[in-house]
Amino acid sequence: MAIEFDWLQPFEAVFTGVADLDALLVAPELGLGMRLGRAAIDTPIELDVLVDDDGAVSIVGAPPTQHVETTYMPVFHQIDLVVTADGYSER
Amino acid sequence: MKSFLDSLTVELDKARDVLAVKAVTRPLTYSVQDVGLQLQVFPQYDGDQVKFLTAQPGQEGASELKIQLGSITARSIQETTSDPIQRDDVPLADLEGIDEETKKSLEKVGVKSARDIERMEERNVDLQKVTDSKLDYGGLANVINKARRRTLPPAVKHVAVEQSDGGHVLAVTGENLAVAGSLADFPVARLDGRRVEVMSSSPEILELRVDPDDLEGRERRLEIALDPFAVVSMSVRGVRQ
Repeated sequence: MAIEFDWLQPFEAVFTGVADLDALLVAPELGLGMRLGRAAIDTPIELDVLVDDDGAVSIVGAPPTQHVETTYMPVFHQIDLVVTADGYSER
Repeated sequence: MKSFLDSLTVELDKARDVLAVKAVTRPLTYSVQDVGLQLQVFPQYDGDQVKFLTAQPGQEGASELKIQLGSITARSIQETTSDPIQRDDVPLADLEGIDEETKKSLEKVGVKSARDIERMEERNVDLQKVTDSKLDYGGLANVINKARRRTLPPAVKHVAVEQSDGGHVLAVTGENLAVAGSLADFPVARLDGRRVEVMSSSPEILELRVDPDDLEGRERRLEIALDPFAVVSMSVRGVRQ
């Protein structure tokens, strides 16, 4: 029996979700501000590869949907992402 | 694997487009620089291709497949990839008359289109040795020209008699007229069944040597075989001005 992975989203959503950072930290009372320049994310992920009737391949994925161990565990793949602020350079 | 990587890069491109829009409204935006994936897969080999199936819940013993996509510069792309297939080129998959096994052996040596085969001929590559087949450039040229003709059909736009140094020429202008450059015996032209000399030919213009007197009076049938796969015929009648 085929399993429908309805909760998995197009992979684009994973990338945009991770890169949707709003990391400007400001402490007005101190007159200080910081921003996140680079973030490395290493996380398990559920994914599936779908092939439609035309043979087009699309990848869908989502963060782990369960943490409690059950008889049939989802398959956890691993994804590493490095996200950088535009204009960021390592010094 | 190729489909998977293509799909992955498409998803990355989509994400980049979304983030580019966000950059319009936000002072600081982020982009994905590197992506690594460790996939739980089952490789399958059918004697010809290796395919990878992602492991499903409950399945054990999967292999780990590591993929690393790094950001590269436009210059690196130019240096390491071949040009995209041009409009007047024909993808290998569209070449009829070549069996699938031969196409696969051509793909293995990096051939993607008709132009790649022509480049191999220019460099005098031994086709039979590199593809382990009985292919020859002559047979392939026919297949290529036939396919190219299908994508570039000829169109005659204008016919006129012009004065030239050696007499008169019938200039036939249009598009995609003489595109089969490797065929030495073409184009061939006949006027009312009589062979006429082709003085020059190009995709835009053909120049045929004619006697203006031959065109006067009644209509004449002009037939031009541009190559073995394209013949244009028309009725012409000369009018003295």
